[in-house]
Amino acid sequence: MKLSFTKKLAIGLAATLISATTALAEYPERQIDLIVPFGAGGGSDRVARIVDGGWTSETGTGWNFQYKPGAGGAVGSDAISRARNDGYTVGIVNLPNLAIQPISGAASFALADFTYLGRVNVDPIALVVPNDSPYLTLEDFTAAARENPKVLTLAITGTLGTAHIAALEIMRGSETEVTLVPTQGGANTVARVAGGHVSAGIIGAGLASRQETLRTLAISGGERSAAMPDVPSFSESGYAVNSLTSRIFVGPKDMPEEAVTFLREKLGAVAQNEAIRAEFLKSGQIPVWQSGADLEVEVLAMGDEIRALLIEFGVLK
Amino acid sequence: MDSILSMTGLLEALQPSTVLLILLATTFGAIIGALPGFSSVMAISLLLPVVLPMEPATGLILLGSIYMGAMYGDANSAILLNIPGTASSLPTTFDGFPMTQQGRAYEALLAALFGSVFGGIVGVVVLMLAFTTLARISLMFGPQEYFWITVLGLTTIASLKSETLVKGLLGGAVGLAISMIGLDPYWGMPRFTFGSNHLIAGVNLIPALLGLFCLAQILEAASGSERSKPAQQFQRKTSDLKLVLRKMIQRWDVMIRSSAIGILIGILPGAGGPIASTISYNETRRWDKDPSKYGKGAVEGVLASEVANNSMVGGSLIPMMALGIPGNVNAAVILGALLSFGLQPGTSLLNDTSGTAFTFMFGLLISSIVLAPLGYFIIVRLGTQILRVPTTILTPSILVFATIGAYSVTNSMSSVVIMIAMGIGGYFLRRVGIEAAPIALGLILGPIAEREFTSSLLIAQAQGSYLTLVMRPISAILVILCLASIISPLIAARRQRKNLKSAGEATDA
Repeated sequence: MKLSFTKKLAIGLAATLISATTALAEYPERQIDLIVPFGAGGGSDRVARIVDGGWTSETGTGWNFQYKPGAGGAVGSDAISRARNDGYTVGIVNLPNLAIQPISGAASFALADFTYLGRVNVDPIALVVPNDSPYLTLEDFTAAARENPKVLTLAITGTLGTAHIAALEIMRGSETEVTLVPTQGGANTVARVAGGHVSAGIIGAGLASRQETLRTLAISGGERSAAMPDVPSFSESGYAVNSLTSRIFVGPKDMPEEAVTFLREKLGAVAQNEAIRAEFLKSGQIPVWQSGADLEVEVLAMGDEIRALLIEFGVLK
Repeated sequence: MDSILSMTGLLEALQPSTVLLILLATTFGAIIGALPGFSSVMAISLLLPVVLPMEPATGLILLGSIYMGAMYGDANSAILLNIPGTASSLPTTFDGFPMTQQGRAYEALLAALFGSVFGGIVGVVVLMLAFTTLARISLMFGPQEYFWITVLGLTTIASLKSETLVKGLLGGAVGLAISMIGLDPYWGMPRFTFGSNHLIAGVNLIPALLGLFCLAQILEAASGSERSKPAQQFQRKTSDLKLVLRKMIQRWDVMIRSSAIGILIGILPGAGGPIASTISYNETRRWDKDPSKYGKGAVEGVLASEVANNSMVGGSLIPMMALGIPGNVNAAVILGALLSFGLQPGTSLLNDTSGTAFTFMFGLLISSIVLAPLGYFIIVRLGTQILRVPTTILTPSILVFATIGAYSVTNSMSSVVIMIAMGIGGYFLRRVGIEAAPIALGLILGPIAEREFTSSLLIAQAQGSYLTLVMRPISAILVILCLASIISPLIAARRQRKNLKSAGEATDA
């Protein structure tokens, strides 16, 4: 009896040792936490859930979702930057918000505090007017704005976000001045524009493509959108409006090499999977894939560009 | 309304499995709503992943029923414990809790139940019949109108029971001041955060209300104050049912006005439940022949608040379904589900041959009807049992729920810290006569008022005239309502003083 107990113990110990060594060799050995810096059911959550579906079929386990909303995502992003960098906590954050928050003082993190894993979608912005607006084209709108500086009103969703940056880019590009009216959310902007309370508004192109009461004058990002092939991009008018919203996956800085490689590779496989791309398109998102190394360079440059733009318009001193 | 589509919709919604689902979801919503700190938004967001693999109509009905149930459930804790289950039932506490203290808890619970059922049904029926028109009306409200509506809500402070008007206003000011902490709505820069990371996101409403109502009250009870104690004896009288139903028929004016206010505020995106119930309560009190009975256990007060916050459910879905603009966060989550099902709001939704929109609306109607037996036989009976639980067990359980509720808002301890700070602060303010209700109103309405005022000013500057703030037709009407709301309690107070004086003279003679 006694012998068999020792035997069992030895076998048990050996088994533990073996599993421990294999675990060391193979990341991930357990479920990965995913921080979503917005509420459940919001836009970021929807994107994350689609990617989670692909991630589960790719790696066998889904993520453990953690919602940490607040301050336009700054609270959750801060939590990601402070998380243990063992590869078991990552997050989905929103650009350009992430790049703006350290500039505005809303965040205590810096852009260098993250490991960049990859970008999975983009949503250009759209300049919209009510259906009965006298402005039929982007040129009509900018001509009116040029004639009466600051008289036209432009609703933007939140200050220091995609829409605000886009508005500044439009003003700089068209050499006009309009009065910016911040609203509390995309839906609010739609209501203000559709009701004719402001001259125009800036909303996500995905949202714009679903509106029956609004006319889209132009979209950002340099190319026409497949969802709205008749709508020109700003670049066709001779100036660049690059501001667009995108969701990127990040982790805290200095994560283990093998974890970073694994996460980038698998996220890339999921983002390029046809079924996942189709799901993105169904929910009005444009799927893309940009891997971490390129993304990091772009995000760091974005921080500097936005700072310069905000200083130029006197938003920052 | 397309008759064929609506008939298939009705038949779909009446399938036994669907009705069973509605029953379960409505009950679940009512229970979540009744637990302080657990919101319907939380419940429906958590169920989203469960709902998405379902049939679109079934999934939407499930979410809608939870929403409907929660808007009723929140009244129970407001009445029994003086803790609003969600911000919308804040005005339910004004008369509901005094009724409990007088041993009339059963009557108050029945009033909340049948008020909610009535409001819910009216809201959904209006949603079905007139939603294209009402959606168009909702667009007529610009930032100027939103600002005046929140001011109208704030004038309620003047009519709340507090020791003096000044202390009520002081409470409102404290609430407004706290609501300013965080990122400012125009520049998006942090303010009043005192360099703390925890305050950047501002003071979230849910932990703040939990602190003000739950914690401050528990502290007060622990210090042996008389007025926080509920009445010990109370009976479940069958005559109460007749009493409440008769009151509802007698005060048809309250029922109609409150439903109308609930729907109107509901269709305005971003205004929301607390404004609907607060304005409805205030208007009911103001138009009453005897406004002085409110705050002391007037059953009309409970009816006004609950009718409005349930008729708001149908209202808030109108701009969501017709225009894709959600009326509040609940409607936003339902819109998210709608889009995930591949359905587009707007005319295409109504003409959708699968009839999903109609099945959904009939489902909501059934949900608001089944609330009646559900509430009468289950929730109200369970609820009244709470009063039999000894304080030594009840208080710690409330604390546990409140703490979990606060934590789950942002999944961090900073919300719990906010709850505790608001609780302790609220307790000391109560001791000097500043009540929780005006503070809560300031907190709820402050951010909306500030944001819309800023927008109105920016638009006024662009148009070169500040008259646009008051001279748009709807805003002018709202300004008049605000003035009436401020002046009428003052006139009433003066008349009362005069009467007292002349009564005094009469006895002198």
